[in-house]
Amino acid sequence: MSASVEASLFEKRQKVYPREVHGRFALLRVSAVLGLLGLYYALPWVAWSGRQAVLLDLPARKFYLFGLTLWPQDFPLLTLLLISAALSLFFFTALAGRLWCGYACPQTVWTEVFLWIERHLEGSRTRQMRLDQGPLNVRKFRIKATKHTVWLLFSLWTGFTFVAYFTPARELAAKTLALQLGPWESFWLLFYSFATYGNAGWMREQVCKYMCPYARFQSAMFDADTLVISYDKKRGEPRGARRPEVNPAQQGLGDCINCTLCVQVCPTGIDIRDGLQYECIGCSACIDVCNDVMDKMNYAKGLIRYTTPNALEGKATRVLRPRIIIYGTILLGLLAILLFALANRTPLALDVIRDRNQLYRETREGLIENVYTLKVMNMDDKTRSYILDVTGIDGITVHTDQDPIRATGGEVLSVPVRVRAAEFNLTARSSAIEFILTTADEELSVTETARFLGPTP
Amino acid sequence: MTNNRKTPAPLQVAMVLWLSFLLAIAPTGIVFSLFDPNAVSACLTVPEVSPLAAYSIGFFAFWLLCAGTGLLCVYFLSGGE
Ligand code: SF4
Ligand code: SF4
Repeated sequence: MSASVEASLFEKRQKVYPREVHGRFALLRVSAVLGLLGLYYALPWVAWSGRQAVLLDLPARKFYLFGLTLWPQDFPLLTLLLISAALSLFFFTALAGRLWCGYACPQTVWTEVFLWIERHLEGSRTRQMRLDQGPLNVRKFRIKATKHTVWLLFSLWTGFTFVAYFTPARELAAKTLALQLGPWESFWLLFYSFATYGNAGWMREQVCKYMCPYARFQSAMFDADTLVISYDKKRGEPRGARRPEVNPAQQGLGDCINCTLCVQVCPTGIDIRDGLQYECIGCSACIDVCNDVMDKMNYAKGLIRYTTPNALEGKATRVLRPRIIIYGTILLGLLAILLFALANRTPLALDVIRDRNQLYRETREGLIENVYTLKVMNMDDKTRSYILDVTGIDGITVHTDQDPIRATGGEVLSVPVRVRAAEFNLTARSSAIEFILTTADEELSVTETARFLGPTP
Repeated sequence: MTNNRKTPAPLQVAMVLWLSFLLAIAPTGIVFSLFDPNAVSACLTVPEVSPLAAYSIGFFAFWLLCAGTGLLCVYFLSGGE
């Protein structure tokens, strides 16, 4: 995309050239980036008792999460997990602002890596700007081509890793090297690669500013006690350049020397001195750079700092306020339910499917017989034997050719069964019966209801 | 916090696409945890496809639906511009 097309598409978008920063928070961000991305790229290669530790195995319809194997039946559990995650996002946002955006959001994290690559190949902010303004020549073309190639390679690796969460990584690697990827695997690999390249290479802060729903919810989650990054207007203004040795008070100046470094480092291209803006992703780059300036000037640090709107106005900050207590209570409640559900999860499920060809039949002994297929799902890691029983009608019996019923870990076993009852014990054309499946050691048990059909009594 | 910036049209589209992408994950998860695409294709006597293809097509159907709704809303709300 040429600069002009980009400009017309995105309404006079000024490319932001964030200047490199060093400092306490930059270190924190780099650690977060390395940690999270390291996790993302490494996890598919981690094995856990003979299989991939984290894998959404689509053909087998199972989700492996280290020692835990989740089945489609566990979907509510996963939903609960996602709701808890969303709520913790609310909770931490109300408490400490956009920590997520600044340190953990994939958009921030991948953009950061793309910026590193850009900086490595194109040089500092000033050099990048000069390169972009300069005419296209061999040198510029070489640099740009290299940059995009590296970006694309990195994106492809990212896309590959994404697919490796659905197709075992080793298998996928072998298939990729042999150029034997399936059409959908190739599609997702390219799709995710392209999304990474586009979002982290081209769109960058525009994703945060225009596309991200979370950013738009900010004002609903923030209050005057939320920790935000803020410029101390009282202390900084009136801003103005001065020599280090002059005493600002004598010149009627505040502490801001108007060096505009805070604007130059900002990845979203805003001026934090204009007050709290929804574009601010809380990356704290401006804190680091301004602290350096304050050090050089021999002023106290923290002209830009983490603070709360209340504290800035000299009021007391309340950490425990209704919003926090409510979010916190709901969150704790959800986590408790989740833990309880996980701890009491029965790794055994039973499905009963009626034989569709026949309503019922009469045996030679004159009993009414219904035929079913039981699907026994052993969601455990170990092989289990089961005892099957059926209740609901006097004298009802169940017969199967599989004795004992035994399923290996993770197996879905089909067990055809015949259920018999005497006609005089039937009170209706259709009666409810219950299949009870119990492990041989009586540790686990599931019950599933079904209908037993017979002639009209 | 103020936000009186008007979002440019291409970015409005991008926003709808991105939001519907996220939202489409939920129904995909629900539907496919209830129905096994292999079992469904066996019942409907449609040719069997690979699981990844079935899940992908399902996801795209939901995405298309959500995105379509969103785009129409944006279009009508903008007064048909
Ligand atoms: S970095 Fe600090 S001193 Fe420099 S312009 Fe920003 S607020 Fe003022
Ligand atoms: S204003 Fe400061 S904290 Fe906010 S995005 Fe810009 S540099 Fe980051």
